[in-house]
Amino acid sequence: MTITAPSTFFGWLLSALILIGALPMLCSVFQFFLVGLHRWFSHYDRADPAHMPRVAVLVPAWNEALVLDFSVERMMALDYPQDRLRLVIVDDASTDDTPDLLREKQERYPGRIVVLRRQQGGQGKSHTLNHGLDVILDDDWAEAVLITDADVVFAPDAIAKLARHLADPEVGAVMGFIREASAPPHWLSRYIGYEYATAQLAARRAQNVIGAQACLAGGAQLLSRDNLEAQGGRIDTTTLAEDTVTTFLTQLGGRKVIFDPNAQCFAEEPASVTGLWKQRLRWSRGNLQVSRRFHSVFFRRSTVHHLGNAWLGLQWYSTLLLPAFMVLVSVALVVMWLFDAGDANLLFRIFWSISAFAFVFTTTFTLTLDRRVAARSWRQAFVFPGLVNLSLMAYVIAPGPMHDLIRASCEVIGLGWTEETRSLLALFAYAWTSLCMLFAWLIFRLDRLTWMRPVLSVFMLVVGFGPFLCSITFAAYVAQLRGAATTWDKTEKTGKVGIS
Amino acid sequence: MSATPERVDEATVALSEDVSFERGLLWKGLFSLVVVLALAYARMRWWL
Repeated sequence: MTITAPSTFFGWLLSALILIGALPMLCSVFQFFLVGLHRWFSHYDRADPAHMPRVAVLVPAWNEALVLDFSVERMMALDYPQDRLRLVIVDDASTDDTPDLLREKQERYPGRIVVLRRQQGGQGKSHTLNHGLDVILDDDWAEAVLITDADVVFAPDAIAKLARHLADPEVGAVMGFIREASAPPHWLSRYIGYEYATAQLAARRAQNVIGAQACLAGGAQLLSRDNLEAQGGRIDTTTLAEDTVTTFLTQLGGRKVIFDPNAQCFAEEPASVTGLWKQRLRWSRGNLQVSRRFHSVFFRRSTVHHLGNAWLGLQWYSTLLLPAFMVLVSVALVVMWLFDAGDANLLFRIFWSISAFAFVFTTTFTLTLDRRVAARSWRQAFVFPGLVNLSLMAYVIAPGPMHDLIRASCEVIGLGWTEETRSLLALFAYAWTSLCMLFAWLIFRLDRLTWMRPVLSVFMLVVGFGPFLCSITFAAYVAQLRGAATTWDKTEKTGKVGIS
Repeated sequence: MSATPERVDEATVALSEDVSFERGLLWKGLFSLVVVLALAYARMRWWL
């Protein structure tokens, strides 16, 4: 492969756009370099294992009878001093068996479970949390508040592992690792399990290293009382990402947010494509709202916090703008192909070579971070980008054998190996970074047809789970631009969590 | 049931195990880098 510089300004511009499109992958690679440094920048040297503050566990519950029985029982059996742990469950005007179940639990564990009930429900998690916070902060018993979800099940030592970091008075919040644990695991949950390893075990370790966290885990966040009171004792109700707002406000107030990957809990994740789409659309829209609210924080130095760290800003925006980057790359490649097919081919190879090596590095590293995730989701890790993207990576890594394979495949299906065929294949490859999001959206639409559901896993295999998530972010842009209502869609859970 | 000495001892052991795990991350990262370099070498040596 001979590399020659573009001869025109237009060529330079298109080349720059394509290389900018590789920015998210380069940010991701840098993130993993930071993970390798975590031993020197983790908070363990300031954690005190003897520090066990009085913790109020705040659980919002809206029609959660299916999941609460198990999660409450596990909470009562945690390896944490009983006189320092109090469970506060806010029943958000449930219409199922939740009230009866909570009454039974209260009788079984007298003095350890507080049940509150809202008369008007369904306004969203943050409103429910605020109802509980009003009561918890009204007396001085609680030294810290653990905000979690009704379906989340904690490992026996998880709360002690979170609490040890609060021995450092500079820490305002600590989060744990939420492990995907649907039982039995299905194809979608295995993808999510792997994604959680990259998004939590890797990304949040890297954020520990730079001293700034982008988002507290919604289901496993321990907040110091001081921090909560400094935020007015309220959780944000104006966005769909109240966890992220809390994270930013904590750090803007000069307090640290810490991720402890060894404080683990287990959660059931959406079992349907539509359920996942709705959940992630809410998250993505929340992130867009947060970006707008805190835009002045990014890329600016501060003596109070590290949210202005350049890498964090790049990582934040490259994730948020990933669909735009993907469209940019495909448009630039196709336009370049119209003017100079040779240059387009060269840039295509550069872009996909970066993608391929970044994919191999980050996937290998992620699978070594957690044995259980590796055992459960290694297949999904390898096909995470989808078979088409993997083929494009294989083409740039091993062009000779792949060229022969593609040629043979074309001949088998009756396509002659002509100039026209090669041009069509090239155009398809150049446009794929955009097309994959369109196909991913089609998978979401096909989920409405019950008879199509058995084959959706095959479609996802071809299109890729990564492009599927990218497509959801794109849908979030559209929803925000349309000013769609910011209603709270509850993620349906069934209580089937495996914790072994 | 407060923070008994036994409970604190267990928590101390858990902390040292967690620190030990984090120490291994650098090696895992280097291993991943070696995999990438091996792939790059294979590409140059055989597949171009």
